[in-house]
Amino acid sequence: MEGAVSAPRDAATGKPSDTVAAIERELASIWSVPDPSTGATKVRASTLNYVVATPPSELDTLREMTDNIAETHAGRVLLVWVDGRLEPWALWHEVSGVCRPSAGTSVCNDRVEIGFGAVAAERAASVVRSLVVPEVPVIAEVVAGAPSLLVYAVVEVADRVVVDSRRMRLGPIAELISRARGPLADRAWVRSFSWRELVARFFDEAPDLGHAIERVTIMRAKPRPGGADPSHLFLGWLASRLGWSELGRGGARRADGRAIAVSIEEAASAEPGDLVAISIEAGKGEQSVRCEVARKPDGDTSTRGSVHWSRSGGAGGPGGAGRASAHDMALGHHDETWVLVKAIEATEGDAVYKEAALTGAKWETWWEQT
Amino acid sequence: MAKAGDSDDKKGAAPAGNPLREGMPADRTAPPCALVLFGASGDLTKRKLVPAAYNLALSRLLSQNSAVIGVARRPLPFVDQMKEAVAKHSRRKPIDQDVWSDLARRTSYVQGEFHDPETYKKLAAELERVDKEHGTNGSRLFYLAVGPDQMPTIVHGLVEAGLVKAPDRTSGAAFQHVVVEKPFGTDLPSARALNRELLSQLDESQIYRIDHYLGKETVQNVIVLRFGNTIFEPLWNRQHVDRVEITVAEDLGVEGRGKFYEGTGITRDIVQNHALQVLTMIGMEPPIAWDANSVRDEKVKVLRALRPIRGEDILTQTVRGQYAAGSIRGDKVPGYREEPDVAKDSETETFVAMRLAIDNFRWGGVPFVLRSGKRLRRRLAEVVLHFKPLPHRLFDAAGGGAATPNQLVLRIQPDEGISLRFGAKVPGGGVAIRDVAMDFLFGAAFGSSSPEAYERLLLDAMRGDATLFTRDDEVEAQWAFIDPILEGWKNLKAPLASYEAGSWGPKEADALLPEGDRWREP
Repeated sequence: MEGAVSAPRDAATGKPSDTVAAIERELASIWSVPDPSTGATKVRASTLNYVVATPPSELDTLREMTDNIAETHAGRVLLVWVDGRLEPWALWHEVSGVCRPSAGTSVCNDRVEIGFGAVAAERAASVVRSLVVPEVPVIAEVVAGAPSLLVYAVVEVADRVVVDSRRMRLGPIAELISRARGPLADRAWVRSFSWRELVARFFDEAPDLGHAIERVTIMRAKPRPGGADPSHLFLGWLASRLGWSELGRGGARRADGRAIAVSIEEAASAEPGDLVAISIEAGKGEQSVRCEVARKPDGDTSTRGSVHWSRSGGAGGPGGAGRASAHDMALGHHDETWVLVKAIEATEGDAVYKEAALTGAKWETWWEQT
Repeated sequence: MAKAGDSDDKKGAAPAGNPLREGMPADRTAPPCALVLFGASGDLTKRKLVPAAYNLALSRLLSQNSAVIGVARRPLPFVDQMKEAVAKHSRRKPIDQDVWSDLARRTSYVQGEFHDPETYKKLAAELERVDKEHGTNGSRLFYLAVGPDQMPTIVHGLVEAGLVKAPDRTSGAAFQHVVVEKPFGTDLPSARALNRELLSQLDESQIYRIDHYLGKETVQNVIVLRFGNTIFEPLWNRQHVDRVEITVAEDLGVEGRGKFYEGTGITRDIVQNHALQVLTMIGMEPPIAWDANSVRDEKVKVLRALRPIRGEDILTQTVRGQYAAGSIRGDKVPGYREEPDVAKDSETETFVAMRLAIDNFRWGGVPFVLRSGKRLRRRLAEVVLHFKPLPHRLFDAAGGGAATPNQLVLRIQPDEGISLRFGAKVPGGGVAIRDVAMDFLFGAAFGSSSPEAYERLLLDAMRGDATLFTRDDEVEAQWAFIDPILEGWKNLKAPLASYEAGSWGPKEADALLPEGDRWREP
């Protein structure tokens, strides 16, 4: 990124519309002059609006991330937060444009940061709606710790909402699902894709075994404070795909009525909120198989390092289902920008996540109640 | 080590009946295989193939159970050369040492003559070793980065050594695919002979005839623009389009390849393959599905509908030219006949322009004008749809001025993008009209680092997706159209127009356009 240009800081205690007008003027002034670093005409890149409701403590991290995703998903960025230091009706804002040279022009996108006073935050939805670029989607990210007033405001205007259940429990996420006009994506869901894919592999050759699961054991690190237990989202996925019912601390019931034993264990060594090992037993007697995915010691987060994948038992099972095999698998090297891009692009589809999150939220509730 | 859960951007295909696969993206990763590069010491391997393999590994699209084996005549420090090639030619720099080390560990070299059975024995032993060590499971992608004269020899050697077997279409079965580089023959008889040779040893489904133009994102986007939107296709026909203009221009000369160029010329080098591929993408009907045969069926129909240019028509429907000395980007450059290894009385064309007609319901009466040349003003590939003029110039009487007919410009390279030109009212009194453009730049919307064409094509060949490769009947239809023109130029002693290097070609090419029209000079 080159050629950052900043408009002067503005503060207002008048009407929010005055602040919107000031922001519009500053945006217009940014776009009306050539890029000062190159002298080239600016071309606006507008593939989306990325609106983030955040606590102020996350602003630096978000600024860096929005610069990174602008390389491939350029558009208008709006960072909004509630600032307790401001007068209740005050709004603070800053407007900047960031440009990079491309094909003899400067391809630019802009970023608007708005701090709302506690009362002014009631108008956040209206302010955001005025400032988003029309005709391109609004992606809203809700960062844990943002006040619900602000969260609901951005969810209201969003075509797609991004959350992170590593830092937010599934109950509030289920609430957002019911409020949002568009689908939800979850960074933790993106990070844990490999785990689901590896578990799905167990049943590729014998899908019926998926309906014959007897026991599930999940080992995970202690969840982050305020974050969801990753095992609940994982179990929500299994349960919603396989038609389990009567979810609770002791387990669940299969579609054929048989009980499934579920246990969740804690590992001390991993990153908080990470999955460490998943073990599944399915089938009975000679037909039974045991499948396991377990993090190898080189893995330090959900998206780095490698896992050991193994399947044993069940000799002569249907479709070769019982074939014993074992592999080491790389989880790859993903950073949070990659995770966000995948969340924006809905790589895995939205309906499956929605069902997994809603079922996981039920599990979260029952787990705590029983 | 296999790779887990790598997700790219396609959703869908999953083993039938596994409910846990629902919603998961189809795996875009290449299955484990050995990539065997014949012509390992050549320029293409260094500039394109090895950097492409590295970038696939960097994007985690190359299975970690894959291996790379170079094959060439000379003793070669292949791994060192690969590293040098990646450092120099990779689109992503600097080299990621972890990814490179992992790829280098799985790379080896076999030295031998292509006609010598011993070479294939050595290769078989090496493939057996990588099968065991890396888990390539008997799957191979043989890339023939060699001249067309060597291809039958190599394919014969591979088959004789049992390295290529009859295709097994069972899901997950080992595969052996053979990628054949252009030029695919030098005329129709040689292309047919090469097809016959290859098809006597291989199944068509195992042959991947590469035209790297089809791997370009912007060429593929022609299909998306047309069939992924609703607003363009209703206009994409003779009712609304006045003419289609295709330009594939280079500012480079022959760059030390004078000997090769003397026997080739721009028509064989560019028009027979790249330009005709672009033309078929523009002209084709919607395929019934996005799969190899559905797409290629439609492209072949366009080639068959091209009105042949024969006899005296060759003199009025085509112009060939050769560059003389001139200036490009401020530098003086020599004329073609002054280039090394070029005859002083060379008749080889470095420029060609043609007026083509597609005889079908969609395009009847719409001229397709095409030009391609070396040492033109700038490197550029674009397609322009010139729409019909206004039926009535409503604003002329009010001083509206002469708005030119609308143009849709598809820029393939460089500055990839799409531009729609239309008339807009100049602010103020009256109704003065000025041409303006709505521009879409790929780089602005998606960032500047798109995958190289060879990355996409290598990956597709490994995955068994031949949609972006040329089929036997397609390549023969291309030559069937081009051959009579080449023959006619020779027999009729067609004039060879001269043009100054750095210009847009000879003025004689203007005669191919409808009266009053001009070639674009972008």
